[in-house]
Amino acid sequence: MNHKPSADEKFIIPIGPQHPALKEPGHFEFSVDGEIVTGATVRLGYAHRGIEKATEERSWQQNAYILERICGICSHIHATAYTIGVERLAGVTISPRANTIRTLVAELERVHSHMLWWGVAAHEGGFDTLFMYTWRDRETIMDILENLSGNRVNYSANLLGGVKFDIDQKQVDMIRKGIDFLEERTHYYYQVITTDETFLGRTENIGTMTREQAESLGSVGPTARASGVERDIRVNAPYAAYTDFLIKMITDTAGDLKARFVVRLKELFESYRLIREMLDNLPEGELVVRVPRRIPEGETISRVEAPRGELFYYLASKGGDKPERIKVRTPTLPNWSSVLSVIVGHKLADVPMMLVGIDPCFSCNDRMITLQRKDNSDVWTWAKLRQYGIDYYK
Amino acid sequence: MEDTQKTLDTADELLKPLGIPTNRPEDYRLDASVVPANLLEVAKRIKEAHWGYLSTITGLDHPEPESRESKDRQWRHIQDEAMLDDLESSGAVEILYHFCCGAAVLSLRLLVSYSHATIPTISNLFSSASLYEMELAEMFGVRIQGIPQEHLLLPEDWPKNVYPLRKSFHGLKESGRH
Repeated sequence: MNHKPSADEKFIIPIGPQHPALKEPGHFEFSVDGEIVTGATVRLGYAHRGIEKATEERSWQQNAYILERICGICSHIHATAYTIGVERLAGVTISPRANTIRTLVAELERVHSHMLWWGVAAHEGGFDTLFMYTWRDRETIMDILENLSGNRVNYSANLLGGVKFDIDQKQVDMIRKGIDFLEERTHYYYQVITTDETFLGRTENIGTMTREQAESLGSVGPTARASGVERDIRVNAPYAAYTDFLIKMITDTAGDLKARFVVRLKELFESYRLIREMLDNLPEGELVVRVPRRIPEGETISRVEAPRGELFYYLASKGGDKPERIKVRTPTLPNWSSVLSVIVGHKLADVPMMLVGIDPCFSCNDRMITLQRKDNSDVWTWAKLRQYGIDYYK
Repeated sequence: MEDTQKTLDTADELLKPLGIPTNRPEDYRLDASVVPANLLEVAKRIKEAHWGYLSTITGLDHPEPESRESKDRQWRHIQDEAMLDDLESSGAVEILYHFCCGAAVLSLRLLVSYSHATIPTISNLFSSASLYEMELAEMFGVRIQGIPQEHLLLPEDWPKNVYPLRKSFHGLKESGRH
């Protein structure tokens, strides 16, 4: 009569690709033992668009536009990695002013991306007031970007050989005013996420990843830095104007979800400081220099620090007006393995927060991966489960 | 920049005892030519020395060259006669394992012909490799021993032996699916 499940019988909870707890298309299967997660797999690919292949049939100039559309949040950083690589292949040096504007927009983008993320993370944690506050405040930065470029998300600031728009004194004042307001708000949010008891209940000591784990899993960005790994391309391999305007690397040793919040928020103060410094010292120079239509034969690797971590571009040219190959590796991809490895042993209720803790971006990384389960437990098919139910209640 | 050179020197010294030919295409990069037989040994050495982390794996398609000159240029760095014969008859996939350490990038370059495109997995050494390897297998038709041989990124009903990132792929219609 009493059926005591043996150790190798597990229940599988599927989540996604459409699910209220996840707003983007990913499919996860969590095997659980009661409330505790014992294994996790993920299947991605629902938003795969074949962009790498598409670049091989478009000109170098056109590709700047298609690559910027890989991501709707960190669009500028994709175009930055690409243009830096192409300019290196072409042997072109852009003016200090164009370089600084490029970097300025990248930091503005980081502010909007981080604010968007902790709003989403607060929502997953059941803290919708914080979600609405941050998204309201984020409009400040969206207005700044729209004023500069005419667009809220795909700003098209980068051109091969420079940037598309200049920044005048009126705009400098507007950015300064916006940054002052956001800095004050960020202080407030920092206080909330480090002192609010209910929120700490969802983040403190949850999803802890040790430094060794982060290093061996190849984690990048704030996810790695929250575990004490000093990995920030802006510091490790300065590009664009980060060679003149130095940024301080923010790390934490705790490695839990709270640390990932703390690192991202502290990083914003660095971004505000850097934005002000760039506005104070905007160098003179041309906005664009000429880049040939045909790019000389060669290959290069361009790495930049996207809001979510290292973004890796490999570019190869055969001397034509179209690239031979463009390879993109976005930061979410290496970070998946970190989250799926540390999730084992946690409660199912912590899963949404942990998934969102790496700031996943599905349209960026869309590919599919399968992680091996911790044990060799049997995965039941629907038919097998149904038959089991029929037999059990006979 | 000085530090980067030192980091690259360390990598160079690491690979030297294994007899791996290296060169520096750019001042922050080191390229090393490996073959399927010594890939694991080299990867193990990098792992044991804690030299950086695996950043990603890139695949490059080299279809069968059209002319004698382009053949010579494309395969100029290949020493092995048998390998050359193989390449001339089928075309090849080049696989680049990018390891990053600070600003330095080490790329292990591995060339396999279409007809002998089987390599071992390095995911036992670098667990994050399995995702990049699965993508490589599906996009370029490289068989990787030791990882699940199933559809990863592409839809379940994707036709067999069609590899979208090969240069010969121009959409499914032409390859006879519809």
